[in-house]
Amino acid sequence: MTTIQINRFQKALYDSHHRRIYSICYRITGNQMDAEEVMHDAFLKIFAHLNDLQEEKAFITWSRNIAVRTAIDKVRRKKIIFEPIDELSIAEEEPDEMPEWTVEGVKKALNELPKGYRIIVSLRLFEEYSFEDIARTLHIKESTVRSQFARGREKLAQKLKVES
Amino acid sequence: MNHLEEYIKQNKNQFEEEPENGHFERFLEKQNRRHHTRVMVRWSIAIAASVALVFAVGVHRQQDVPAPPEAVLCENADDMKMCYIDKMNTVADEIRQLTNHLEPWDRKIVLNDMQNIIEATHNGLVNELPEELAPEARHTILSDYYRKNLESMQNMVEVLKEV
Repeated sequence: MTTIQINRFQKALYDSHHRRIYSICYRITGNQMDAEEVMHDAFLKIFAHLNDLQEEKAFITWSRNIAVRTAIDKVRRKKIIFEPIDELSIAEEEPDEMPEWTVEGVKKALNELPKGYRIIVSLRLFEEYSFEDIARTLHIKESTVRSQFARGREKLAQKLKVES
Repeated sequence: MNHLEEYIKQNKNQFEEEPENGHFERFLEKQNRRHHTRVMVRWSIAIAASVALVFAVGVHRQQDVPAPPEAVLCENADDMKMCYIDKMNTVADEIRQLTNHLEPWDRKIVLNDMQNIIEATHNGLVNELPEELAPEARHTILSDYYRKNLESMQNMVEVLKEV
């Protein structure tokens, strides 16, 4: 491929995937400026290592993992604090019907969570990481991930209840 | 699966965010800056190698692109640089013409690369050479650097002619 063909290919990839990559970065970093910076860094890594990708269909997962790792590296510089779980309240029973949430409401509530919860809840609910994968990515125990996730999800549900 | 997980799964696409306008242009700038830094790092390594070579054996490297005749006669580094810049400006005009038919994005990429080379020729290297370097060695390294930059631009012309 000529330089121009490569550039055109990269542009097409960027156009098709930037929203997905940016959203991952935004949920982890929690602010637009950092999210854009991390998205750019992630794309630079993606383009630099594209030849390493064996299967084309694995691109989504591979690029997602690059974005997650790049975003985690960024927020780790400011230290991720996992809140102590000393008074894990008993989760309220869920109503039978799905509450009337809005996407904007969920986004806002998620962004208001403390950083540690936000990252774990995002990785689990949006990126569909297993608890084991989250533990490996964040270098923490799987049991910590599970308890932080349970607490984070509960806090998120409480915020959404207040909102609605 | 609880309601929240179900809700997120059902509406996953709607949770995607769009970055602020101009994000792609900012990405290109970042990509260019990285490229420019890599070029400068490569040149720093090349300088070290050239300095060692000039001092140790005084080997003259075979030149791929002939230097502009005026540049060969220039004893002063600034004069030599201006000779190369003049030549590069001529090549730059040719590149601009050849990119006229390209799509705006492709054109921008090519012109950015070209601009980086010209800027590197203007500002790069001169101030980074060690002061204790002998004038002849300095001259050889700079002339090699300018010649390579000119050669890069001439390669761009060749590639553009093929497109």
